[in-house]
Amino acid sequence: MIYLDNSATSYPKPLCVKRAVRKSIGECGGNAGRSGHFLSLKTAENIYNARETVANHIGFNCPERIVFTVNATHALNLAIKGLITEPCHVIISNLEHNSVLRPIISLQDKIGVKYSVFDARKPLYEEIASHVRPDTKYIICTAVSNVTGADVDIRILSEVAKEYGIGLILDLSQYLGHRRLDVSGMHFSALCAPGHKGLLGVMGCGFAVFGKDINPTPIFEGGSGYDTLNRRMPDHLPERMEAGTLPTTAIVSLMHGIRYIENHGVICIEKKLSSLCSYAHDNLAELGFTTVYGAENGIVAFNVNDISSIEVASFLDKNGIYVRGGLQCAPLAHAAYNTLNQGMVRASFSLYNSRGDVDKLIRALYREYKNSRR
Amino acid sequence: MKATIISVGSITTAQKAKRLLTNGGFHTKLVKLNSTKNGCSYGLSIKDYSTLEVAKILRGGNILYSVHSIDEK
Repeated sequence: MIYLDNSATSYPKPLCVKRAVRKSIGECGGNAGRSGHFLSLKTAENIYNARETVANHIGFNCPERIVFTVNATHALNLAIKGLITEPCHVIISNLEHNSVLRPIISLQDKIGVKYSVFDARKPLYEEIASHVRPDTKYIICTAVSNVTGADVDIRILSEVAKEYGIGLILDLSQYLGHRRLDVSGMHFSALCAPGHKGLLGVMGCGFAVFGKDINPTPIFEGGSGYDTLNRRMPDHLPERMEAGTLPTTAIVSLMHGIRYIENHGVICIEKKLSSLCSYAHDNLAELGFTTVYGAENGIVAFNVNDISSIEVASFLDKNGIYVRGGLQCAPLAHAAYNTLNQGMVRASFSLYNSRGDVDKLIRALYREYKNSRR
Repeated sequence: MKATIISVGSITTAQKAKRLLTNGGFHTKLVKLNSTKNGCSYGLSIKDYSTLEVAKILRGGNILYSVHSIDEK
């Protein structure tokens, strides 16, 4: 089996993550922030350690502003709907996943939010600036396209937002774990990410990081473990945005995933993924019957002549090679690349992949293509 | 041994306060509290409590707290 679908979720997980999951079921069996007994407090200590680990990983000195969620979509919904509570204008890129687009459309339907879409492939500063209006309140943007791996420079996004005095919500789903991030001194309102992709945790955990002085409106209400007589959610993060029981085991796995990445070195991972992308790009291009749309940040997106990407993915599946075809939940990006009908085949790497895996992908594509021509 | 119990609110704030006070040389224990004013909350039992030192450390971490009780055990 060759797993090349790491942008959907990374696989396999490091041994230390698997061990941590097993251990946490026993050691973190209490409900954090609910009771006062040993097991509950021990779990709470682990959750706080995880907050600190996430905060340290991105150079942020406020672990209490890390809000745990069940995935990146949940985090983006908390950030977008928790910060945009009245009619205004927002700017999004043409590379956004439905986890950004759909909450914006929902806000458009419910409270009359307007949005503009900028082309992330044009010179960024000028392109975004051209969409800013007097009522623009937020730029909401992915840092890396989940379809082609294309970069959107978050430093420039932050600069434009600061310059125009507007907020910035970033989707870091395909960024963290593959690229170093240091947010110290960076202007942002919220950063959202999953725990189970580049950060190597198990599925069931994500997080939103709210910038200093940002006070989102709760989207979910319920138990917070304190301030019980208050009929509304408490004022303080993270509990204000964390109603109900947390996915403790997944959070602990995320903490160990980040520690693993840091021991391995994010720069080493970045270099390895970059090398695999270049190698895959060159070999795919050499085949002569493929179109390669992008090869960055561990993602290579391509098509085989005019064959449906789902068909190609299905054929590769039969050969034990797991990639993703279709639209990758990102219709804006496919509209931009004119691939809404065909979709794209996305092969996405992790630090566990090798050039040998790419060779097998190339050989399988070549074999199938030649057979189909007979 | 006399210990002072402070109330800080959430479990996250209590964890943060515990780390700050431990780094400041205090021996603390996390406890769950109940008050008629706010309902449940979390706090810390602090041995050898020093009003000025604790206030300085917690203020440095932007942590609001109130003295809940003094445990004479």
